[in-house]
Amino acid sequence: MPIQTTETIAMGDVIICDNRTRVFELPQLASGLLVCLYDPGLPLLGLAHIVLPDSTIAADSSEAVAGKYADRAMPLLIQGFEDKSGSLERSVIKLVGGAQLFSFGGGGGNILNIGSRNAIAVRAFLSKYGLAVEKADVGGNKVRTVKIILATGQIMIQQIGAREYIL
Amino acid sequence: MAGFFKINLMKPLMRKKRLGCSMKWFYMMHDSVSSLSYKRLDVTQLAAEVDRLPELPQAVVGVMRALEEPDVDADDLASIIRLDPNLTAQILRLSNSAAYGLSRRVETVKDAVAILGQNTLKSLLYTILSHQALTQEMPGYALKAGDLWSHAMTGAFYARHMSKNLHLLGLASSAKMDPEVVFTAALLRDIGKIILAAYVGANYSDIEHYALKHQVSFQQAERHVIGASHTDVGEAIAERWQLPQSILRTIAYHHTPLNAPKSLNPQDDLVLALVHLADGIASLLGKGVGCDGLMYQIDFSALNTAGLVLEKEQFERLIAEFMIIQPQLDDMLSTMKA
Repeated sequence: MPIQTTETIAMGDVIICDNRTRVFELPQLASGLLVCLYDPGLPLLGLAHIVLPDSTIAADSSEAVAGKYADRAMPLLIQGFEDKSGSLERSVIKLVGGAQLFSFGGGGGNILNIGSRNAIAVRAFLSKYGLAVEKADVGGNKVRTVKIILATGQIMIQQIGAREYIL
Repeated sequence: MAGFFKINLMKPLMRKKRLGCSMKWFYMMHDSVSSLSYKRLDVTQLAAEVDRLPELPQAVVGVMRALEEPDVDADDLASIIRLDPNLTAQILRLSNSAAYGLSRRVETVKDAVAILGQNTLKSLLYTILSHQALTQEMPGYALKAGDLWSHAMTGAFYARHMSKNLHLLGLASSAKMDPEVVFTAALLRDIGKIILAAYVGANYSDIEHYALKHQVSFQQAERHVIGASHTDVGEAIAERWQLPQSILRTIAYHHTPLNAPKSLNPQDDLVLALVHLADGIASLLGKGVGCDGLMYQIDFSALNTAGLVLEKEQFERLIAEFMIIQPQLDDMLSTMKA
């Protein structure tokens, strides 16, 4: 049995991978949104770790930061996935993350909800392609540790004080 | 020399009273609970815990004292630092990290002191000092080794960046403040967790339940359930280390800036607001976050009180800025880890 190798997902990463021995891990996912695209037929995995919904506010418009913004990361993800012969029709799409800080009394609720704005931006993009999210674990006030096994497409999620579960 | 670290156990209590803060939590702690149970933290135990913290290295004490002298120069400071080879090596290593962006390589401590300047040297010393304490694993907060350090440094970098770029927050750049004080205050803001972790571990479910039920932050729930919060403990540590008032005040109120006592220095409110904001964003981005997770809020009314203007677009722009300086931060973290 081949040895699995684990790779950590950083903010702004857009990853396309077909290596069956690969496991991806994101130790502390908070307001960021992890978009997981998986074609079980190949198998092929596409991942994007998005930090903000909209790149038009950014001073840095270089390619290096493209993956951090939903509006730039999603086209890269879809393009990269199709370049590797991934089928969007056959694929399963899941979203994880988008947590937010407490908001009570001190205002700022609509400013702080970056997590949900990331999810809205991604869903809006996917709907343009006629793609739907099959499962999502989004929101709340706790960070998530996420592990994705490429060979099986399983996404394991753990929050502190709770059991790990498969999305 | 010893007097520098001597803690007056009654001092924090008296100061709290003078500042008009609630004394209730100190009195509540005298419940009949074993001091070894880690269920509640009473005032005697808090003092004993703080007293057990390791003493600061002599060379650091010497440099800190020398920095208080008006006519101290690079030669004086370098001669004290050189007495401690480990400290010398760390200062040289960090001075040459990308975070300080020096145009040439620093070869000697005297060079480092002269080029960095005294304020930066001071924050560098606090960075070196707090590294060991903040790097340890803290199971009580579900923090792995290095997590709290990452959280501390991230907040410190963010806060310092904002203090140097106040226009990002709708403020005139002429506002006078020392970015290195902002950095140090942010760096040490969670120092109380090194003691409180054991108590949080023993009370986590009660703290979380209280916070959710009463819609209060994790820090406020700590205080209710344990008898002291990590900011209370941090304040006691800051007293022991005789940190400047601005830093002590920031440690004590970085989650609740509107509760801070009035300061004679108007810039103290700005330091506090910047650290409050930096802390919230570091948590929001999942940088070294523990079981208290995102159970805090950014109090926008407190930011407004300090003169900061932050709408949705500016908030996102700020986060985008922080992502640009992330490589410097990563370099600093890996330099310290090496």
